Amino acid sequence: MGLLDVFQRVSQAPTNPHPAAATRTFDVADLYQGPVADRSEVPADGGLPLDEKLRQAYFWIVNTAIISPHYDIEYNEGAPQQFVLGDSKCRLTLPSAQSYSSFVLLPLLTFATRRKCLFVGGPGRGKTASAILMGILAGYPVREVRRAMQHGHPQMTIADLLGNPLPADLVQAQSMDDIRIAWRKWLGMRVKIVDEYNRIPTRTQSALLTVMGDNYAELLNHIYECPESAWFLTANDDQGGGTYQVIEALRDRIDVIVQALPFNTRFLADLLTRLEENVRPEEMVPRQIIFTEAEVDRLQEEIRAVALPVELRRRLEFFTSQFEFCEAAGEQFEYRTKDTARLAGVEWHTLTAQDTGRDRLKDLGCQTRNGLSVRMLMTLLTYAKAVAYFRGNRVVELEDLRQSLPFVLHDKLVPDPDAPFFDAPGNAALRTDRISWLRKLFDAACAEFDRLNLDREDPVGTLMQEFGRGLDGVTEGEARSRLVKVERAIAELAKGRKLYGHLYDDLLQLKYLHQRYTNYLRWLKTQ
Amino acid sequence: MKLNEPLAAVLRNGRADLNARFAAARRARPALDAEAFGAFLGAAVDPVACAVDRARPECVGAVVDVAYDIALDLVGQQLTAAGARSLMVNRLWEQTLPAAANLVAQSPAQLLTALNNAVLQLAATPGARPGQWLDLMQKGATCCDTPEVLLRFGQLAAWRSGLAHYRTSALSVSRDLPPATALAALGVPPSLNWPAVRERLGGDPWFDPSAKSPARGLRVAGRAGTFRGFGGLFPEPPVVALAQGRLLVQSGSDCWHLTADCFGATFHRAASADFERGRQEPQLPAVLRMKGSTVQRERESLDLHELGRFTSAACDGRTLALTSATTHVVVLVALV
Repeated sequence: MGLLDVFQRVSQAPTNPHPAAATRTFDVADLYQGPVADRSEVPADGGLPLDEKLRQAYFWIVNTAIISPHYDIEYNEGAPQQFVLGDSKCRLTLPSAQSYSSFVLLPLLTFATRRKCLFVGGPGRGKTASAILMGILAGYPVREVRRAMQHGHPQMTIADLLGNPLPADLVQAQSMDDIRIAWRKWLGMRVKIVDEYNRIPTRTQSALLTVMGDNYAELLNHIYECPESAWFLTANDDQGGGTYQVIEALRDRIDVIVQALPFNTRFLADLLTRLEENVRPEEMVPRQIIFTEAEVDRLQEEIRAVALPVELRRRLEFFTSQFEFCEAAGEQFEYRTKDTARLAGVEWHTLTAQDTGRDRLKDLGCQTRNGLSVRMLMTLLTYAKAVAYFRGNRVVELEDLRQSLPFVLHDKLVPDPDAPFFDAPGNAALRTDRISWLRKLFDAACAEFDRLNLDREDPVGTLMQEFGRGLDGVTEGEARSRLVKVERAIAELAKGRKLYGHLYDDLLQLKYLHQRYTNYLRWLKTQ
Repeated sequence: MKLNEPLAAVLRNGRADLNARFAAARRARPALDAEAFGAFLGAAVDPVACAVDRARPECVGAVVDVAYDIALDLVGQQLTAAGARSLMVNRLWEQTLPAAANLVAQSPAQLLTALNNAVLQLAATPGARPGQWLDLMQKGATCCDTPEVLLRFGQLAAWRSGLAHYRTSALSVSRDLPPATALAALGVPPSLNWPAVRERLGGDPWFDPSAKSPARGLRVAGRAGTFRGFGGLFPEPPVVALAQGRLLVQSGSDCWHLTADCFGATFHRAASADFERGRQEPQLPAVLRMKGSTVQRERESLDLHELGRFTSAACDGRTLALTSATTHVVVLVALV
């Protein structure tokens, strides 16, 4: 057993065993499988399901490549053991189920779903190394990944990023079409890495935005269509501390943000071994965990096929509905949103000063300065499905959503640090710890959802279901009866004197239903 | 411990490489004890090296090379530490592998890995009989002419030695074995007609080909499981249910899939939800009736008064599983 073997050892399947199904069949070939490793076979993926291969990749990175002792994505089966420590009574939780390191899991899910991940954290914490590993998992040689990595710097030009026109063509060309472009090789790769993206000049960032957002590059009227790819960006400081301010549209294209947590000094021995043995994990990635292009395509399909139960979708709707509503921002009902206020350039504190006497501690919407976009919701759904898939499930669980949500909304849902919530005892630390704040926010929304008993009593949902069955064959009498039901539902909601985000969305939904039935009635009269 | 020359020569010649492999294995498995490893080389690898030297001297180097890494795996995972399991591993190396030296020399990595894993699996399965498997393999070493045949022989013998869950798969594998070899793997006389035996085995889990007069009718054919305090699985008297044609057993919050035949009974973890779903299904065919502690089928009757009142019963068509509040054992009644 050489040192190479030690670094190339992949966790044995199943890496996240589930209770066996009653229909399990037994193969006598398993008699010869066991703790003694079979050296007669060339390592291969062994026809493992792709979620198992993904978990093996995760465990190889966590156990061998990156010395990462952090398990901050906690899953529990039954109550976890907890310890209270220090003057501030901080809690250390020992999860009772398989838990994960966000610094490895989220990038891996980004790789599997071909989305965009930003690593943030101080220098030398493994951000770039992790990004390089993702490139290697996609089957690229280490040298190619390193060469293709874009390093942000203040002099970076669009030509540095995208490519150059051929000098001879520039001299001889009679039209733009005659100029051939030497496109940069990284544009064609399925894993794209941009190191220190906040050091790229603003103009070059705009070119990068086109590649990131629309998946093509443009130079001198020539277009290069990029393949669908996973993106990994790094930044030492994502709060504006880079050489250049990152343009908002570029930040908005990033799907998840993961923080590189500090090195635990108790793992210094591992570092020493690497130093003495001259080991570079990225050069020792086992072949079994490298994914082909077709496998990543299939991963995406399988992740998309993971089901999101209606009950869970309702909770996410309820959570999301809390944030966009801003009663003081508009006059017409539809424009009473935070986005209206943002577009008008109103000072935030002048809006909050006009608040209507709602309980600002209880109203979750008061904790943020913005709402959630459609893009964020799509990303949330994708990562919740990806986490469930990674755990070997084909249905998303509430905890999958709860655990993935903070990393998606990290930079997207902007907290209002002046909100009374952050002044409440024990909440001050949530001003700096966004992951915990977002998780608490989701927990609070779920608690409110339960308190309102919306799982069982959801009149608006019932009306939507009724409408969802279609209007074919609905008589005039039935349509009128439904209109009355919609109006009654609005009147019922109006009985509560205060307006909250979720009610605002429900009321807009009821208005939508009312309009559809009204239009239908008008159409019926012409028949 | 003094090593014999075949092993000593290989160790001497590959000293630097072998030491590096030991160091690397130690890094991966800090529990790897140098003294225990040395002892295992002397007690287990040495007899194999000597036997291979007698049968195929040109293969000693290749066999020791593989055996050395497997020994690192075994000792590093403390699979050779004192206990019943280590006794079986040692017996494999001291008796079975030397007997199969010619085959080991032909395919050392395949055979040494497979047979070690097999004996470990048998030793770790409650109710299985690794000793019987080793005895059968000793015979197989003389009647199998290729490593592949020996491996198939071992699969059939493992089923015979108590791994009841491999029944269907092992019977399928047996089609590729010569009749005499298949009969030897089951420990039955070579005079029997193998196709007839195989057909009977396929249809009747309680048919014992080595029995002089095969039993018939309603009868207690086996007992499976025991109290956790005595080294078994069950923390409390179990209950049984039939789910999707499989016998499931629940005790406390745990659930297992029970497979049983005349050679043994094994348990594999199952989902409690399947058990609960199974309980909603009919558990017994109409012809079977339970009266107090008696099982009745048409004119046949089986009195099990020592069990007291049955707490559950489930039948997969060929086996009736019964439980009672007074025992941690699942009683298996043959119906064929």
